[in-house]
Parts: sequence; structure tokens; C-alpha cells
Amino acid sequence: MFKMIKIAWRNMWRNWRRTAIALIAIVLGLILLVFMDGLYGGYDEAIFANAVRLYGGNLQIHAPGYRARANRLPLLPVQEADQVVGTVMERPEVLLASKRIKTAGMIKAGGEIYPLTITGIQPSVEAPISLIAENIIAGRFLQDGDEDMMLIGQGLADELGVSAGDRVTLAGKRKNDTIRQRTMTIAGIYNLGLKDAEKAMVFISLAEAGSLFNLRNQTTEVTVSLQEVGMEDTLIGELQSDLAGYEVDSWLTLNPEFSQIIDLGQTFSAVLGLFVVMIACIGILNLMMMAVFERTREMGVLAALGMKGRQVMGIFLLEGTMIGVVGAALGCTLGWLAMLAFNLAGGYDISSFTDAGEIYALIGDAFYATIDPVSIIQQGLIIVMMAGLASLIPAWQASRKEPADALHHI
Amino acid sequence: MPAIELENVVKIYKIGEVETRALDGVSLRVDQGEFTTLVGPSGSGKTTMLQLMGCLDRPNSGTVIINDQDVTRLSKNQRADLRRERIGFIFQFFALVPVLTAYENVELPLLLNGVKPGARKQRVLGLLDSVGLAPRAKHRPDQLSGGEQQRVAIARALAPQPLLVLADEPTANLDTENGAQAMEIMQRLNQETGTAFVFATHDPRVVSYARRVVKLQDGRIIDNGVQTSGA
Repeated sequence: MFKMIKIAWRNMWRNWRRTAIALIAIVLGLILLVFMDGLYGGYDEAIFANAVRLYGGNLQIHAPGYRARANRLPLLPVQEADQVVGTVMERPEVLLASKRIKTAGMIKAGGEIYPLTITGIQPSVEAPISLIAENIIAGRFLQDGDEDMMLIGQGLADELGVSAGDRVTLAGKRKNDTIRQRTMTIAGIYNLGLKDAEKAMVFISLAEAGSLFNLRNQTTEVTVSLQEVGMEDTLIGELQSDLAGYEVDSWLTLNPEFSQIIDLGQTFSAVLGLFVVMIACIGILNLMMMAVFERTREMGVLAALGMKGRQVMGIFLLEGTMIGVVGAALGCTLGWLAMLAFNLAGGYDISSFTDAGEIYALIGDAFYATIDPVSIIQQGLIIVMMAGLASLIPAWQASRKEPADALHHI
Repeated sequence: MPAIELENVVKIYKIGEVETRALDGVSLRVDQGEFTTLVGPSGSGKTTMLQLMGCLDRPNSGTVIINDQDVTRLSKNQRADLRRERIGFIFQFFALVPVLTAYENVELPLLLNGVKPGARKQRVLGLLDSVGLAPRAKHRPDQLSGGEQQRVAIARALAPQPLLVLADEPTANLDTENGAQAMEIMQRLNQETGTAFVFATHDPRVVSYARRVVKLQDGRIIDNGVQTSGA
């Protein structure tokens, strides 16, 4: 086998210019693919890591029946919420689990109605990883014992013309579907650069929410923050079996708009990958077909020496696959280096785009390419596999030549 | 003892609607240790006969017997096995594998036969030495002269210790000196090993080395050969 590999390797370089052209096509395509994939990964990670922090954890656990009516924020108490938190926190992937009460509400001011979500949080639990806590621009973050205090966004404060310390009347839906209204002091104002989100979310303490909405000492949601985005799918299944009788959902399930963004990115990446693989395959197919044509008489000689069709086929398959291996190794390495250089140069600066929409605002000033060795190796392996497949037809043609015919080939 | 026997062999090539009888009922027996030449004008069927003797092609009718076995009934793979173990080839165009060194070219049939590395090395070096090319073992074909390449091809043909070596115009691309050298080497190896050699040639220099000359014309044997004294 080693000798066959040696023959295939040397054959590969017989017409080095032609091989180099095929390799350049593979390498450039793979650099593009690896780099774009890293860029998409980084983009997704930047958006989603912040989105997860903003919208309430990677996973959310609710009482049965919540999922079907999630868009109406039903106030279904999670039974034995502390036990649920304890079970979840046993998982090493879990960074934090906290209890929340989330209900629909509104603020009326100057004849305008501002519909919003009122979220009761455990301030001391969430503060260490809260995006809101990080972005308080006036006043302070909530405290566990706060009563009649709330956090509002800059966008809402601008609309209402209020600032920290002012009092605003908040109305929210109670457990029995009646409305509870209370005038509260603005403890702090957060600014995420997301005007829409800032208008739509106000935060109060969990104790206050329980008292206001007939859910004293109760919880409607347990939010779970993971060490990193992307671990959700594996953990959901495991948690769901540990927590039978509860609904465990990914933040993506409950925020389908983000799911669409991820799908779009993945689709674009897959289409790009398909083009790269096609270019590589066509290059190798063309190269190998020419090689088979040029070496027909040599195949006749090998057959005369007693080499069987499948052995001749093996040599050509190996040759095509080796082009894929060399191309993949170079392409993956250079793609990886390109990402490294990109990240060292400060990533992609999007500070000028932050007013362009909620998505860009979630990223911050810049995002970086995600360097995922497993993904890079997978892309390289796909190229190698496809190179082998592209060589299959020419190799099969080579194996079927009759020795006498092949020897007469000029 | 016969190295190969052809009995009433017919080979017809069909190009479009036109049929050409390249061999028309040929019978020939070549014994072990023979040094035989097939002569005849172009189109007389020399190369076709060599190809049928070397199991590179199948006749339309008739039998080709090697080792008491009718090889025309063998599958493609069985014929490949037979060639690998029993038959050596020397071609007009040298036909070395260009990416392999002289050593590796001679080694190739032994590799295909599964000969162990130690025995392989000994055999290859011995053969290269016997054709005077031991010092050129690491050279690739494009670094060798035509004469040297043909001597490597001779060594390669003899590597698996075949029953029969078939040579198609082996001196056609060589000058007089190199042609004579190649023939002398083959003659010496024929005598040393007892391997039967069959040449197809136009070249009177080759004929002069042969102990038996078989004459072909229009796909038929017109003279079954007489034992000559050789050079």
C-alpha cells in the first residue's frame, strides 16, 4: 500500500502546473469557506450571547401548558421552583439559574399606551451576568428588597420624558387575568442601544412582582444561563428527562425570529460550501480525466505487468484523494491563519452600524471570527472525501481499459 | 516441454463494418528455453500474436495453452494473475513507469507478486547488475538513455522469473550499438535462466540472434521456423 501511495504521490506531481492550478482553486475556496464560516460563527455568537443575556437565559423552564400560549405570557406558576433551580444547577454546563415572573403590562402617559413586558427578577442572582445591570446609565440596578422600584430602558424614558427617581404608573396582568396598577419610582435606566427592546421591557424585583400579580412566593419561569451558546440542544433533552412535568425550552424556540437569523446564516454558509466543493470536484475531475487519457498506454503496461483493474483504479483514486488532502491541509491552515490575523487586527468593526437595528446593537462595537478546530477539520475532510468521489469516474474508466487496447493508445 | 502452445487461433478486428483477420488459424508451440523471433511485414499479425500469447487479448477462436491451461477461458483478473506470475513483457517504447526509479521499475512486478522486501531487494539488485545498471539504480527513466531504459525493461521482464518473455520490436528505438547490447543481454539471460523469449521484429539484427525464426504473412504462419545457430 505504501508503494502505491508513493506512486500516486509522484503521479500527482507529474504535471505540476496542472496540479497546482487545481490546488489553488481548492485552497482559495477552502480559505473562503473556513473564513466565512468563522465569521458567521463569530457574528452569531456575538449576537446570540447577548440576546440570551437580554431575553432571559439559554433555556427556560415553565409549567406545563406555557409553550402553547407563550406569546400571551400566561401566568402559570412553576411548582417547587427552588427544587428545579437546584436540579439545574447540578449541571456543569450551567452558569446560573434564576427565578422570574414575567407578565404582560403597559404604561399610559400623555394619551399614549406603551405595551411592554414586566419581568420580576432576583436582582442579586442575575446581577453578575445581567446585560441590563452592565448598562445602567442613570440610577442603579435593582436590589432584592426593592419595593415600588423599577428599571426602565432609555428608549422608554425618552418617550415618557422621565429620568431616574421619577415616578411612573405601571399596569400589569395578574394571575386571575385582572389588571393591577401601581405607581413606582424609577430606580435606574438602562441603555442597550436597542430602542425597541428598551421600550418593551421593564424590570422589578421578584418579590414585588409576586406581590403585585397574585403570585406571592411563586415563579412563572426559571431561566438557565449556560457556559456558552450552542449547548442548548444537548442539555434540553437531558433536563427534560430530569424535570418531567415541566416544559424545558431553548431561548430559540421561544424567540423564533433569532432562529430565522441563524438558519439564514447557516443556509448561506451551506450554499457557499456547496460552491467550493463543486469547484474542487470539477477541478479534480478534469485533472484526473486528463491524467487517465494521457496515461492510457502506461495503464496498458501496468496491466501487462499483472496489475488488476482495481489496483489501477486504486492508484488514480489515491492520486485524486491526495490532491484533496494537500488542498484541504493548505486551505484549512491558511483559513485558520486568516482568521487569526483578522482577530488580531481587531475583528470586524461595526461601531458605525449600531443604529442600523437591534441585531447590530446586540453585537457591540466589533465581532470576531470563531476559530473552531473541529469545524475546520470537518470542512477539510469534506473536501478530501469529495476529491476521492470526483476521482471515482476517471479511476473507474482507467480500470476498465483492456490491456491490448490501452497499449495501442497514442 | 512447451512454454506456450497456440492451436488454430483466429483473431478478427472489426472496425465499423470492416472485418480484418489479423490471425487466421495460427498454431505454434514454443518450448522452454527457446529464443524465437516472429518476422513478417507490417500487418502480418506479429503484434497480435504476441498479445494473445501474453494474455493481453482473447482470440475469437482457438486455444492458447500455458502450463496445460487454456488461458482463453480465464477471466480478466485470472489473466492478470497469469501475466504477473508467468509472463514478462518488453516493449518497443521501453514502457518504464516514468515516476519510478530504475530500481523501483524492476521492483514493481515483485511487489505485485507479494515478494518479501529482503528477497525483493536481492533480486532487483542482481538483475540490475546483470544488465549493467546497478550504478544507475536510483535514476528515473528520463535520466537514462534509450539503451539503458530498455535494459531496465529487460530486468523488469525477468524479475518475476517468468516462463516466457515476449518482446515487441525491442530494438526499434535503439541505435545499432544499444540494440546489439540489449540482444546480447537477453540472449545471455535466456541461456542462464532457461526462460523462453519470443520477439516480434522487422530488424535483421534481432533475427540474427534467434535460434528459431517463425515467418508470418497475412495472419498465417508460412514458415514454422528452423533452429538456427544464433549469434
